[in-house]
Amino acid sequence: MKRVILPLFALTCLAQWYIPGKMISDQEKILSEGTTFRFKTAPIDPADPFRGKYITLSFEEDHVEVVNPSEWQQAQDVFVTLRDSAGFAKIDRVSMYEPEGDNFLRAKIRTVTSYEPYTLWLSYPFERFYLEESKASEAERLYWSTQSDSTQQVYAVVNILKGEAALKDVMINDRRIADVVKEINDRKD
Amino acid sequence: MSKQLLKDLPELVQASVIDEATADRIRHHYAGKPDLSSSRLVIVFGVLGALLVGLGIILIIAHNWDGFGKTIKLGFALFPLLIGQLVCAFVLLRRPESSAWRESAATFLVMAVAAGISIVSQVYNIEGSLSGFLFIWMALTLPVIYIMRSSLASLIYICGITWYACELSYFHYPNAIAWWYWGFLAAALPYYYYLFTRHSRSNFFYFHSWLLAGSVTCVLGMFGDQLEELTVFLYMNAFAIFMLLGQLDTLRNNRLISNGFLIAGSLGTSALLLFLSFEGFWQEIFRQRNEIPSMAFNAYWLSLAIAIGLLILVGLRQSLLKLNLKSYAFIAAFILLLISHASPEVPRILVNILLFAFGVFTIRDGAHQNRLSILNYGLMIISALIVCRFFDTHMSFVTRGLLFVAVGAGFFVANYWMIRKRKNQSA
Repeated sequence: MKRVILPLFALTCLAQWYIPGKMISDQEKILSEGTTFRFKTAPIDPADPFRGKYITLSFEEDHVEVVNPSEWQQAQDVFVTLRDSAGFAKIDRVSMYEPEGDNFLRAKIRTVTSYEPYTLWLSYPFERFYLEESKASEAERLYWSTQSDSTQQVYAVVNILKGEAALKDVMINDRRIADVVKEINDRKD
Repeated sequence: MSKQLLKDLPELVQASVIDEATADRIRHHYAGKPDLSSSRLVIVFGVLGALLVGLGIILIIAHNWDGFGKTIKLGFALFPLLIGQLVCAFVLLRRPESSAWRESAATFLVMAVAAGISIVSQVYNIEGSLSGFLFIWMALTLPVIYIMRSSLASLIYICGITWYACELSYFHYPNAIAWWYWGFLAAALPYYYYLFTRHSRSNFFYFHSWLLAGSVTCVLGMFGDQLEELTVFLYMNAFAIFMLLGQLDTLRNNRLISNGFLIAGSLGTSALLLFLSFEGFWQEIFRQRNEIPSMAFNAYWLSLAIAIGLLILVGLRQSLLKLNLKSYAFIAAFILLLISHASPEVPRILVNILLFAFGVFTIRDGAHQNRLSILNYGLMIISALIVCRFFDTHMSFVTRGLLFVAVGAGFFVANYWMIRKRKNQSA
């Protein structure tokens, strides 16, 4: 019996390492080889039972006008080609088929408006940014205060490589949000 | 039980119920038996410990320590996985026969896999879907059940695949049919069969029966979007399958409360028939009679085939007449579905008669088996039927009142009769 069980156990162990290993290697590849884009954002603060506290990001550049709304369906996968405009990501075009080049990402259609101007609202695969438990609420508060202040700029730094994306950080006026929150917390203490 | 008996021995000897030699023989008999209760305790605490440590690790990791670098975080994430695998390897090599070790090590490993995947997602801000996470977690848990022969891993697995199916079919938009659930479920059945053949009197077996019945009941609604009203008939077949499984000798000979399939099947069948006794349902079925059923209707045919196959199998083993009458409800429902295409009125009336008959037969079963619980269950079926008819019939208040008085008196008389019968028997 052991002759069968032990090799099976070894295979199971390998599989249990393969999944997180593959996740790590894929993300590292996007971080090292991908192109960096900055997305202007708007975060809020929920929690995930397994992964802890995070802020949900929504993006200014998350919609595009289309001519024929009936061609597009809710929850459909689409490819979004990006370009840089004044330091921030801009949608170049949205397509149902994988485009040429590296600077595109796979997104989902959240909704399609049925009145003019017909608009595709997109959902990106990097809408969660995980933060230390104690910082998530403060980060949210900080975000809302920056929203009423037009001199503050909040953006996400995302690496893109052939459809895949890796969220590197969220910045407030070119400073990491985690550092800004830490400074506020230290000042309170 | 044995401990209580041993404690009572001196009293029994003193009262001359048994002599000293018999008392010695009883002591000798129990001294030779392994103490099952203490080994059971070791399993319970071992498993509880592993589960708490595993959950604790997930929570500590969920804090997301910003102060640590990526490599350290990943190290923390995957360290429990390594420990879990090493402990499992140790158990397989050195303690393969200890169920306490096997259950605890397997439980810890299952939790460590979840922690590992979660923290990697967290470190890299990988959004992913909860259903996707559960899919991978359960796929990696499946082999652990068989390799470690772990019942708790199997119970976690059944909960996990149920959650996965609910996430995909109910909580996620747009809904989808979680076909993979059925593959996962089929993969868990050999372990249930192992418990069925080898450990049919263990608590783990009872928990499995309940959880499997609960799981299928929870997720069967995944076909609801496509089958609409016809989903009820799919459920009817599933409950018949539960009832037939619950009447297999191995399950039937255990305590009633441990027979999750029989109880879930019986309650489910009665509840569905109550639902079918309303007029609106059959009118909707009548309205849809010319619509072409979707592909999901194959699930209905498959469940019908399984129910008929099981009915023949269980019927051959015992006798078709000895089976609980509710086991045939699915055939009646199928015939009523056919009749409903001609008239929506007839099935509604027939369901009322059928449900009344089930109530009467259940009361008779309760009386035969000398069980108050079954007797009262039968009375509850009839009461519920009467309550339901209050909503869609035009009986006068006097008639309704008299019916209620009759059922209330029925409850009183039946229980009083049964308790007196028991007293007479014990006297």
